[in-house]
Amino acid sequence: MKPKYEVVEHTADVAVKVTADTAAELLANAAGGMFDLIGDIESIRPRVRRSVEIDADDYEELMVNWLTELLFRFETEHLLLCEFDIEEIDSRHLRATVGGEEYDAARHELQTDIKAVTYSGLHVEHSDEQWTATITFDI
Amino acid sequence: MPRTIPINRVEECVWEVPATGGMRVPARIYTSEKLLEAVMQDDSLQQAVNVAHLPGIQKYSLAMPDIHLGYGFPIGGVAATDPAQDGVISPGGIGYDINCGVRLVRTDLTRAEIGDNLTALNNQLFRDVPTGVGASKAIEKLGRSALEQVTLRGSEWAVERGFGIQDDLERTENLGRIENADFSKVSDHAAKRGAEQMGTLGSGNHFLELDVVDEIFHPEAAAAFGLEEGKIAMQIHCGSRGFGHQICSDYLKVMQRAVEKYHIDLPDRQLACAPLDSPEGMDYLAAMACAANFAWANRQTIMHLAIKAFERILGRKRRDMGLRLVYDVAHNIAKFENHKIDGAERRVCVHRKGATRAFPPGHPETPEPYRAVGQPVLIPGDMGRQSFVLVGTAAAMEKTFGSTCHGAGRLLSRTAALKQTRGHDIARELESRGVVIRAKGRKTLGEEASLAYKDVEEVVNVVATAGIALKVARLRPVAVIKG
Repeated sequence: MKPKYEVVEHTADVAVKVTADTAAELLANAAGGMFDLIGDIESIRPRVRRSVEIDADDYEELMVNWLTELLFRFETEHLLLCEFDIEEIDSRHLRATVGGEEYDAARHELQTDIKAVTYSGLHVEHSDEQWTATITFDI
Repeated sequence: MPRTIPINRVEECVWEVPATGGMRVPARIYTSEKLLEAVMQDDSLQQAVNVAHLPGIQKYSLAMPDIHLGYGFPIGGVAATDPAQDGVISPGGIGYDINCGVRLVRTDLTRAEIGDNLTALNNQLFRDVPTGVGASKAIEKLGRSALEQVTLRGSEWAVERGFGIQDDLERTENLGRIENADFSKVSDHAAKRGAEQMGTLGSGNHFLELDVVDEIFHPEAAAAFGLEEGKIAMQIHCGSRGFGHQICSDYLKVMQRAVEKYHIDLPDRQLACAPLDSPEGMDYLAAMACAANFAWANRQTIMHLAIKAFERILGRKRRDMGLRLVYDVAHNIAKFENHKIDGAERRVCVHRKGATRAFPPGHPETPEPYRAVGQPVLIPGDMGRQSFVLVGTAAAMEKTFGSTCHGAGRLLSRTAALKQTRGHDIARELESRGVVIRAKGRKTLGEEASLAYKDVEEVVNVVATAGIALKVARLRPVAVIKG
């Protein structure tokens, strides 16, 4: 399933805006958006699962640390991810199981080389009904 | 919406924002009226003003004519901080791609001599130098102890492995290695990201390109650099790959905490920094040195792979083809250097974020073969038009801590560039103008098309007019590989 995100215009880099009903969904959508930029997320099948735990001081840091960790899994294990089940979350901690598969040149087309997840303009905001964040990737 | 910032013209190509509020020094931007207009469209000038707030900053917060929006620091930013005046180190002043830089190789070959082999040569380069997203496995995966050696010894490690010759080291900024690297300051995550990426180009604006030396502006310097009109040269533009990106991400977290610990008041969270002599500052400098050395080894290894491709396709040896490194420069780095401030020589930490060192003739760190003319400065443009070779000057030493510009800078976002190139066959259009190209990503050609970039000549003309570098030669691309 396509994650809910939109690409925001940025001259030198790429930014995505994500919205969600809950914090868990917000972080899952951000991860989905990131992997949709790296390669088309609809071409990725959830064949292997990994657990991920993240600590941080606030939601902004949680977001950056979470996406940076997934980027690390991609670069070191060549894992493209498409499922993000966030099992526990508060502003200082996250536990999740993520699913995806190893990159296969025959089926996956890699598109965007994300160097890093930045704090640029990053504010995780929430009202009663909605969570939003805009994440800028250094590419 | 960018705020209005008071700015005065102080020289033909220099504008100044006076120090007000929390600014410790004025901000100075090297630009032209035309380029300044573009600068006013985003927040990059505000970023240069923000940098002026850093503790211990000396003289000016500087910005080069290719200034554009970065993270904390503008890209094109230069700042020198003094450890004796509570000066800080800020990872944003180096950037995620630590020691991103350029190297230039000269040859005796003419375009005519390569003839129809150009396409085969470009294809071989594309096969042998891994490009693209997550590019890996150019050479065997590095174990932990091999990686430690890379980080401590930089280019020297590569040469010892057989990836080059001693002469290459002498023609590399800092001999391809900065001191005080400490591998124990590098996270396990960074080490794992670096293990498979030695000898890879990566993606985005990174490239390997064959050029023809198209025009000589400064015959004496060109002769010293070995550049002759009509001869082929090779440029390699890349950095420290995932290794450096992870180190920057890791230390930004450390610096966020350091800002609170040392009560540093900053206008932007992304300028996070720590005093140069604090444990946090010293740890970052030690880890940054590891990444800088990784990047030099990386460009040295890529050059070796490329030379092998030349030898294989053209059936001649490196020496017979006159392949020699002209120079390798970093444009994302911080280093301790001696500069004259208020009449006295002082050792300061010069941050160059998208800016190139441009040391003058006679400087002890200008390599011996170039001592009489000055340090080579390499300014890549876009893949369809041109790049420039410049040379450092005494004026740069006086005015900009021995620094000048680093490139063209984007004009259009990637999405806008894709939109404007829709329906165009960029590869064919380039080919009709004599440029062969291979790129891994389907969207790369559209995203990296010439129209997405400012013309690098405008940028170079500003630094030449201001005297903070002189034009030596123009390079015109004939073959390009990209991610």
